[in-house]
Amino acid sequence: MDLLAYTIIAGIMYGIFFGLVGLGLNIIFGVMRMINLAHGDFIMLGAFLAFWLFYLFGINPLLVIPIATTVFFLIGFPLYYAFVPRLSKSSDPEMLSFILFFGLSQVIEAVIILAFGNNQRSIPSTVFGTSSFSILGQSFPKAWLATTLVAFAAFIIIYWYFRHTRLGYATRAIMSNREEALISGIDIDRVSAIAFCLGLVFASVAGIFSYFMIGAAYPSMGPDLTTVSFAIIVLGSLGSPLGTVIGGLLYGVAVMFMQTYFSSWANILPYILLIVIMLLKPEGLFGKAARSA
Amino acid sequence: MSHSEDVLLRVDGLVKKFGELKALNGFSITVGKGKIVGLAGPNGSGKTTVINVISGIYKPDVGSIEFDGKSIYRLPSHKIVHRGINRTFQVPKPLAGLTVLQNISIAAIYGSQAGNKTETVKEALEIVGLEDAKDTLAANLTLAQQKLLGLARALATKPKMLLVDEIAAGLSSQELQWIADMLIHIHKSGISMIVVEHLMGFIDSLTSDVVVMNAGANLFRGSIEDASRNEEVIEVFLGR
Repeated sequence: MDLLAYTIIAGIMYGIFFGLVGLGLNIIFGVMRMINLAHGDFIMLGAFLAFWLFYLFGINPLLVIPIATTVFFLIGFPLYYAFVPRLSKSSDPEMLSFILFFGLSQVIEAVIILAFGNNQRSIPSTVFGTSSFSILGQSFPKAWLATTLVAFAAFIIIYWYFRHTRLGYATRAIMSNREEALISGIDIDRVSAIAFCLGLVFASVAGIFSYFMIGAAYPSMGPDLTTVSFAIIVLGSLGSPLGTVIGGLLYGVAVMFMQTYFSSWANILPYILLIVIMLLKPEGLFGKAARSA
Repeated sequence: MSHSEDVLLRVDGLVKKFGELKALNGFSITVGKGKIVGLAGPNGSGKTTVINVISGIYKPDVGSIEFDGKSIYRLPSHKIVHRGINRTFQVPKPLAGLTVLQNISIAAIYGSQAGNKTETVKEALEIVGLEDAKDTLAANLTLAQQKLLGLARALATKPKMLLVDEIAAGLSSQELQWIADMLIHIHKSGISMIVVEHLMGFIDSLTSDVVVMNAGANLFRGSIEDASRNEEVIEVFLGR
């Protein structure tokens, strides 16, 4: 019974974190209708940024968040304007976007290996203190609590952005119908560039806290994380950022059950989930109603 | 019409290709300040493409487009909106997850350059008579209501010119009369229009000045009465 309770509670915390892992990919897909195949590599970049800031200056992962936000807005804007408007004008934007982002993924991985070597890095979870905290009699490391709270805050922020800011409404307008958004006077490239940057920022924040939830970071971790993220957003519904929360929770709980009861099978879980969802409910569990939200 | 200060929109020699297909092949049209021009033609003649190119949804390949004395050729859509051109869609495409009020507010906030936005939104709602439905989700509106919302959304950007694309399609004769009256009312407030319609009857209730196009090019310009006697016009419409 204790094992079951632990599995469920850990699964929920895990799931909230995995919602954050998928969030950025879904924001970018919702607005740009492109799958960022380099998504996992931006998670890795976030992880490496956190590692070096911690290793060199002893900066706490929580304080890396504002730094990562700045860095990835600075990277995201030129990256967007250099490639995406040109891509949108091409004859086959979807196919070419796959090639572009796949290439970007390879480049990021190669550059990081060249710069830092293909080694594993980690930040000890004791950075948040050695004491643990308990929920319903189960105890967990403090780092889990910090991660869960950060992921939760990310959802609140994105909800607030979509529902209570002008830019958020403009973003929803683009997600709902590009032509109607254009003719309402919205500068689609500007709003999409911001959404792209937000997508990278949320990916990097997931990376900062990945040490405590998935373990050591290494330069080639990106593609696997992209697959996991893709499974999560398909589960929760493509293009519905808030559906990602549900996708993440389901994935998190499922992973915990697999790791606890069938640990040798845990790694194929995202692939199994993807196949099952595609066969049974390809529009995602949240369906169409949530997509326009 | 020849005096350039009286011309609001001047489109000249427009070409738009989709692969090998020339959807527009040297199309030209001028619209005077405060005028309504009907644009008619058989299905596939390029009427909607004209609207899509003028409003910046499609980029033209060749030609020139001048609005209010300045070129808007190949400008991005949102900038064309800011210059004072807006449109409706043949198949309405409201932002389904947002309410009527939110749909119109977005257009007022992002599309119009000056003025009291709250007042603008209220006016637009009043003109189309959607005040009672303002908190309804756009997805739950009837087709006629969605067309009205499209019109209100366009008006909220404070346009000088409105491009109305086959607004009559799929409406009952009663709704048609109602929409025609509304467009006349909007026109009286000083907004010029191009009204695209497959059928001459609806255009006739708004203006006598009509352009007929076929295969992406001009076929006729003049009064509806003359159009109905023109051999070539009769030929493309009846397909002799």
